[in-house]
Amino acid sequence: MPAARRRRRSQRSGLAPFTRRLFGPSSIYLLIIFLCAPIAYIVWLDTNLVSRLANRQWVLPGRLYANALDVHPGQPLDPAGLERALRASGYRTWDPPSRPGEYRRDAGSIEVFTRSFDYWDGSEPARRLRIGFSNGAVVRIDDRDRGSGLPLVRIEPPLIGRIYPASDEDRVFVPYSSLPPALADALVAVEDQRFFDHGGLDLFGIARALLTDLLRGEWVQGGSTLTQQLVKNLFLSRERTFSRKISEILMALLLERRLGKNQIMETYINEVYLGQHGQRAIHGFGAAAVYYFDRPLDELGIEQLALLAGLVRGASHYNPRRYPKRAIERRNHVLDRMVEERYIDARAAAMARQRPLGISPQPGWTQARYPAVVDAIRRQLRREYREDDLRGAGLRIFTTVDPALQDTTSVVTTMTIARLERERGLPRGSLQVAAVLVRTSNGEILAAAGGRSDGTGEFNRSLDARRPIGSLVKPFVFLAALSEPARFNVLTPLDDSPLEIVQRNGQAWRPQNYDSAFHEDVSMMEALAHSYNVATVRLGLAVGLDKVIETLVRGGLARPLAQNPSLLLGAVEMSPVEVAQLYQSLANGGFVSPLKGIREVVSDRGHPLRRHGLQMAATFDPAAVYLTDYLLQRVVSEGTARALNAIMDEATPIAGKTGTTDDLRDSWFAGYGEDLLAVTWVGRDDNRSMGLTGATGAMSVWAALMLAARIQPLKAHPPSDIAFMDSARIQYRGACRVLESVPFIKPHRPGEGGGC
Amino acid sequence: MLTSVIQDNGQAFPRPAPWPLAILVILSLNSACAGFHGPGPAPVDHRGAGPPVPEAVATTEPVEETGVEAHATDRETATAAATPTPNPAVIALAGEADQRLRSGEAEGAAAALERALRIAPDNALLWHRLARVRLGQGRWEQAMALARKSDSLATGDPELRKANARLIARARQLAGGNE
Repeated sequence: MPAARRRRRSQRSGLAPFTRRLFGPSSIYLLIIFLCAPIAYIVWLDTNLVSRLANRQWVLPGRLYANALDVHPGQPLDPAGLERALRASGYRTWDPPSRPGEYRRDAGSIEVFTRSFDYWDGSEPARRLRIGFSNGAVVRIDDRDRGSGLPLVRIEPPLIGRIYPASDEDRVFVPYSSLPPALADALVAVEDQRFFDHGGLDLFGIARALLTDLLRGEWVQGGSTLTQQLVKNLFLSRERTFSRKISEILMALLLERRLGKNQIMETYINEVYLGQHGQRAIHGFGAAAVYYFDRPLDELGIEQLALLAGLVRGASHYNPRRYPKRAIERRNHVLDRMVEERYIDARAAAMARQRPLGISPQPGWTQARYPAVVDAIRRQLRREYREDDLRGAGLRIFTTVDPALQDTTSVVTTMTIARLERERGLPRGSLQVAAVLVRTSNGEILAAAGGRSDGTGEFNRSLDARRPIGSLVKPFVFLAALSEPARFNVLTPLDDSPLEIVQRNGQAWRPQNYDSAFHEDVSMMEALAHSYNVATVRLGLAVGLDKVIETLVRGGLARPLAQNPSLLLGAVEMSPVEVAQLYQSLANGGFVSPLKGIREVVSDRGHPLRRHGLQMAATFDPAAVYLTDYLLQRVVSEGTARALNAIMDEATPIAGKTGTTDDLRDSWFAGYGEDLLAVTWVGRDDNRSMGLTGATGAMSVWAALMLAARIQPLKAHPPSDIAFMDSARIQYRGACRVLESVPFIKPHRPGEGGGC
Repeated sequence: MLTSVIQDNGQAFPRPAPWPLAILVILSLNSACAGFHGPGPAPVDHRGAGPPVPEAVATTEPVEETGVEAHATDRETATAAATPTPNPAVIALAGEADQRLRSGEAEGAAAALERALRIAPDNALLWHRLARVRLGQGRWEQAMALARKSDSLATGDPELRKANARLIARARQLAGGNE
């Protein structure tokens, strides 16, 4: 093939004079012989170019944004918390903050110059703000330019991931219109001085490069225009052959025909290779700005732009993290070229030369930072949109992810199971973990962990690890019972004596209690607080298995369940996200909101495509849920989760339930405070026993997580048909006990006693 | 289309003679034979291509309802002022919701109210207002559920409970009429 191309090339060199005799009658055969092959080749190249360009331009990934932080007076937030949020969005300290994206933290206040940002519902302008704090809360927000107080501001959300990026490439698309002029100047000065004048080839540049080659006596690549470089980057292999050079020249000329200079420059700045981080190739200046400086491109100074332009020549050779001296020399060379080409004056260049490289200590991230939660969002997108609508349209997707909570979740889950392994003498790395955090009032997923963050692998346990849920099912058995207030109240006595059930297959099933003891008369309250199995099975059978299953299905379990009594003890496999959906209804007073990770989807031009507004169904009787919630608070205050009381102290009352499966294979905890619900799971991937109960494993993770998340105590919102007994005497753990303010659904006042 | 591309390029970027001539010929051939699909952004109508937009329910229908509810607004603003901790952010967002409703942006109003509810999830009045927006959009089921949610939090506010009851009755009536 190269030989053939070379032949065609030599034919082509005679083309121009030949065309003058083109229309003579005898030349028709010659025309076919001499013209057809090169024409066919060029037509083929051109067609190829068009189709590949078309494909290329539409692989813009969708951008996923975290939740935008709403800052308002009265909000529980300290300066450190706001600073973390600002840094997550790429803000830098600068004194005084003089450009968008800069802030200064003082004692008790933060001064910040916000960036403007286009939200689904309009733009937030760039503003200079002073945010005052006192006692761990925001007290004032002042607009420094207008000198007035503000009730509410939004800090623009950090980018947390992309959908459908090319496998291991990373891009931050920069349109031509927001290309910093100094970057274009630097590129042109150092790579292609006549870019805006030539037609794809720079003949003068080629001549000069050839001359240099001849003088040096070696073949050095040079004289390539930006257009040629782009063609090379986009379409051609890395080998350096003569035929490839010919294709490059032809395609550069064709490309100039197809695209204007602005489009070529735009494609170039978004395609050029500028570095490597492990498997990940950094393409384009937008991604490079984040990778090297951890800042958006439009916030870089001239010396930083000059460095990036300098990297085009050899990103690994001039790698500023590895070879800072080389990088500085290269940067200064670019600045010199800019002076020579009169883009900047000598004084500005001298000042820029004085500055340090300014590379961020850690590479900025632009790729999915939060794999589990981004995975959940991708799946929601795939469920609800056609793939064609998502692919390459440059969508902006506003998610519900709380970046601070997500950071906390990733760190705390991993640290806690590492601690559990140490304390229990378990093999290091043997335990796995999953967690889901949900805003209970609207079902928004705030954070998720799909496994240890120090581990490897893509398995997302929060969505894909379906495990038996054990006692986590019990609240729904109790809810089904309490939905019949004439039959059941929180003090209804249950029988916890030995039980034998003959199942459909003829086998006898004898449920046991965890403490291997049986209890005579226990109240509903005691049975759930201490998670008595036998009493729960009797209760479930009294209510009816069908009613229990109906409760689970209405609560959001989207799968059919077999009518098996072992279901009453949690012989049903669910993922942490499915459990979180069920508990959301309990935490939200009986109102089910489907869990979601996406709030709005906006096209690349700012046109809102779709809003995933709040969805709510009035599923359960709020009064019955109130009683279930009361029981779940007892689990924490005196039941299987009472260890939480000491740990959470100020956050109580909270509600929760432990879950443990046979042979201690799965350790679960589901619990909630005001407007925040978390479900945690700890276990082993090989499903072997790990020796932890719900209270020793998953509850430790839950507590660490909720402390870090500053969970707020539950507020009491008794529905209007709830009334309270001032006090009630009951049998409790074999002794007489007086309970205060026991709720019941009017008019079904519980009977007292139980032999008391 | 191709001609215009070439003209644009030709005007803006004059180039040396021999190459462009040959290529012009070739490109014309190409475009004549194969048909040219410009590499620029293809016109894609996302609204048409996307899944059905649930919010895009007509907002024009219950005009009468808005009139009825207009009376309630004053009284409920007073209720809002009487809540123990009036959060300025919530008041600002509720105001924004009203403004958006007036300019016919029901979904924008819902967004503002949902944002306020993230700050104050136990504010019964905000839930009621969101229910009203959904009622105005013809989303009866959502309106009823949201009004019930409001009601479960409005134990100490008989006026708001009456307004919720009216809203639920109205939504049920309208939903029944549509079936």
